[in-house]
Amino acid sequence: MMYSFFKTFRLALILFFCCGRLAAQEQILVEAESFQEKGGWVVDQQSFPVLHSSYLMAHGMGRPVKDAETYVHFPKKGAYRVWVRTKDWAPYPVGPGKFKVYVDGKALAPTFGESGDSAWKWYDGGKVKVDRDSVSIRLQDLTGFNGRVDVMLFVDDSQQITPPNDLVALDKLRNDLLGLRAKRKEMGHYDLVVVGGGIAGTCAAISAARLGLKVALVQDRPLLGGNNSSEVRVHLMGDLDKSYYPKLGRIVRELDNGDPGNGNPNAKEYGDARKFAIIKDEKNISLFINTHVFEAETENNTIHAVIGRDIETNQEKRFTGTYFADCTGDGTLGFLAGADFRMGRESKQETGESFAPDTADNFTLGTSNLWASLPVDSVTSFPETPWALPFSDEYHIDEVQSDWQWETGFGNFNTITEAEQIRDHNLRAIYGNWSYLKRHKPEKYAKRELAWVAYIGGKRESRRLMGDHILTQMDVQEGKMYPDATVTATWTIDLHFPDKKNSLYFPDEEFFAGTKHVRVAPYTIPYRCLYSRNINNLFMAGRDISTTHVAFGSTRVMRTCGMMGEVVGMAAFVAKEHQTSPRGVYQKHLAEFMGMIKGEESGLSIQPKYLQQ
Amino acid sequence: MKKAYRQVVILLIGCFWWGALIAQEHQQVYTVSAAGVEEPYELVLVYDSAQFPAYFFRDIFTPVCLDSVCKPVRIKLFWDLLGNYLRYEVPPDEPLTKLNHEEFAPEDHERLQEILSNEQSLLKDFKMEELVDRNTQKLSDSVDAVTGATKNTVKSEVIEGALYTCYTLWHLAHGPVVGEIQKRTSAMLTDPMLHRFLRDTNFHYVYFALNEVMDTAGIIHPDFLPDVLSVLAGDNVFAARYVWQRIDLRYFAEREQQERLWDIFERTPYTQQLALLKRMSALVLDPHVLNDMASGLSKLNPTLFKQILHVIAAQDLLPSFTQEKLLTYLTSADQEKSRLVYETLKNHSNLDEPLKKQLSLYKKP
Repeated sequence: MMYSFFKTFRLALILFFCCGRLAAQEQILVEAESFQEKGGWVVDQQSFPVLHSSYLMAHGMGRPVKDAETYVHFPKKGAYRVWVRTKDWAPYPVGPGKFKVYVDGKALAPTFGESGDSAWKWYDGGKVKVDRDSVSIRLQDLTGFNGRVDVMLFVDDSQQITPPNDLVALDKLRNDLLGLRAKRKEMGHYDLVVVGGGIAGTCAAISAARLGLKVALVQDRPLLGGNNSSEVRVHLMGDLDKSYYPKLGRIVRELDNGDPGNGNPNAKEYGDARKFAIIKDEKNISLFINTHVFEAETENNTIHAVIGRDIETNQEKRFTGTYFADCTGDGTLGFLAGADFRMGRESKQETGESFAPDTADNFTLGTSNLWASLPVDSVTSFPETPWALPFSDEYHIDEVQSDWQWETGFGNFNTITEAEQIRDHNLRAIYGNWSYLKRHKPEKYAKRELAWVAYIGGKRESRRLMGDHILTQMDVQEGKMYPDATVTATWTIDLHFPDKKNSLYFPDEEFFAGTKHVRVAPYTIPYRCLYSRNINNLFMAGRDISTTHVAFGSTRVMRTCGMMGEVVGMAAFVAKEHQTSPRGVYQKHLAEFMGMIKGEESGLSIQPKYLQQ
Repeated sequence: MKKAYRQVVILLIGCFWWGALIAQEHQQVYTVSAAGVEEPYELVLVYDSAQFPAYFFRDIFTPVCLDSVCKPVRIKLFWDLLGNYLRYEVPPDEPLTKLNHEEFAPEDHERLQEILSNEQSLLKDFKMEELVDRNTQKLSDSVDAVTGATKNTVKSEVIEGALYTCYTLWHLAHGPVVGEIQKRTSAMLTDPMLHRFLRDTNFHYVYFALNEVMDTAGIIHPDFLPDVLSVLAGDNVFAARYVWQRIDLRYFAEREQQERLWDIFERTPYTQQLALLKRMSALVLDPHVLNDMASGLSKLNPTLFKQILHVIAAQDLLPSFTQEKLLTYLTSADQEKSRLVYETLKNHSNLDEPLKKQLSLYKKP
């Protein structure tokens, strides 16, 4: 009974937020990601920085997904023109992401998603007659191949309104019709606001919370763990047992669910439940999943608050804090706050690194969308994919499951502004190759089916926020021990490049990587790499810390990133107790802070609460 | 009656003998001596029924060894005419075995075929003694009886319990024999062989023959032009692209050739269409072909529409029909298409008055 009440209440809330209307103009905006019943469609927020919205996508691996449906209240009956904002994601020449829209049970005339145009645009869905208060809108996927919808708009047909594609005007339209700002919620004040719930962010939040800080952990997906979650399925790398400071890595160990390898078809292997259970036990942590941070309020280079938006309901939330930690991977918070950052490779001349290129460029490591197939009892088919990358006897990848090499980026695409294109390129490679294998290698693949294909990209590299120290190849290879040496890193300098053969067949469109591991002795990462050099209260942990591109090749693996989170939690504690900045911890309280890192809490001037008890 | 019977028997024997003689001629045996590496061995070239060279094979009886422990393996390896490994055969009474003499299961044979087919296997870069961690190996009476010692890096490249068999056979399949085969094929290469290569489904043959009949400037030996054009029009998009990126454009100077090219364009996959358009701007296109292009614009997605506009705009002279077609896009309600037509043609110096006038009236949306 109670469950039913809450479910109804939740649906009512969603309905309230998903549909916006402007009475004067009789426009009704329906965000696709806010549909009450999503059926088999999934919410994708990865392109929020570009679209300023999430969208709904039919990710069926070639089998049409179950319909999504929602009910919309129309204040006025009559004729409306329907606009659907969508795209053809693979216009080569026409993509497969086809879907139909039904209003009150009747299909709109156009079939969407097959325009041959890759730009997100409004498409005229024709006229509908609304003769009741509440009308069902249903999305019917026709292919299972990633058709997608951002938003729909119903306009009183007596008014000749074409909705804008310009982002500023579109933001205004969303805000006006959904009342986003007006309905924004205050989520309270925190000692530390951790943005990003990957391994680094989760460790930072736990570390700080266990030292008594009040922490908000804000994550833009429904799961914790980031690249190690079951949505991405990358295993944890980097050694914990070679640490100069045995205390570091304890939280990472708690989160570690064993090593299922990359792209394991069994989602449970990645321990989503374990991560939630650990966070649930932390009374000082308030967890906000499904919340994408898109705005930072700053003054005098200090962040006062961040604003997040729920990726489904579009409810906006404001978090104020004393300290903030950017554990987003993309350096999203730092970027919003105006932190200094780099993206791409520095030149040899700039850094003096032997592995740096002669001239600086935009090259970054790529993004993986892992996948796996499983054996089935009978022969199964897979659709032809003329829109995907072409494969032949001459070139195909003869594998039943992916590994890290399935990777797109390499400077061909910007890993932030073209994250959607990167994912889609990966999908074109996966589906094109799989279609080839099913058709041309039946002896091995006839009785196999795609069990799982990631629609969330496992991103390796984007922005690196600059700190008071920028870790270099020399630091890594020479094992320099700075006075603020914290995390011990062990991973090789692992810089990926397009696989040579892949480059030959897909020049500038590579999707398969190679690497050459350069072994390193265990070395340490100075604390000064873990806070921003120009934003006074901003920490970093994860792949966006202050390193060069070359050094990043080693620091980026997740156990190492998790330890950075642990260090940030401790630094935030020291900073709070002494009412100083992250830099102040280094400049004025280094001995005390390093005491914590070494596990010598007894030497602290201020005892963490758990020790006081 | 008896005489007739005798004649039939003699005839049959004669046929059999002739058949056997022909069958004998279907093979040529080479003795290969690799200096200081191996004992001389026999490499057999097999001809097909049309007397064309078909493939090579080698009967191998080899020890699979580690230190002083060896076991013999009898196997027949097959290669194509360029030394690419094809398959293997094992005599039924001498099966391949794994750890503790366990016979290969069907899935082991599938796996071995996969391993041997992988020209880029990591096994290439390993010496035999590097395959195992020497500290952990324990030898039994079988050389593949190395327990728990295979290095992680090569584990995915071998069959468990058959490490040295996989290693030895891979190096036999991809070793010096490849060069020996190529040497012999080059020595017996004929024009009829090249014609067949260019139309073969084995892509190695296609590339090999392309490099034989086309020089670095893209000039093709006249006898082979139809074969090369068939590769351009064929299903192998990679080979088609290879031809298109190299072929001298003189072969597309005339209307008939350009119409064939346009026909290929209309039937070829999207990626190849884009590749074709990249070079077509350099052609002086026949008016009929230009008209076909302009007529087909309505069916194209925005990317192809833009690319073809560039090809059209690169022509000094545009026929009236083409210009009329472009005019309709310039004045259409599709703002993106009208903008593209305007941007592409605004600097063209040789247009008819109606199009020129409409371009001057165009206002950016």
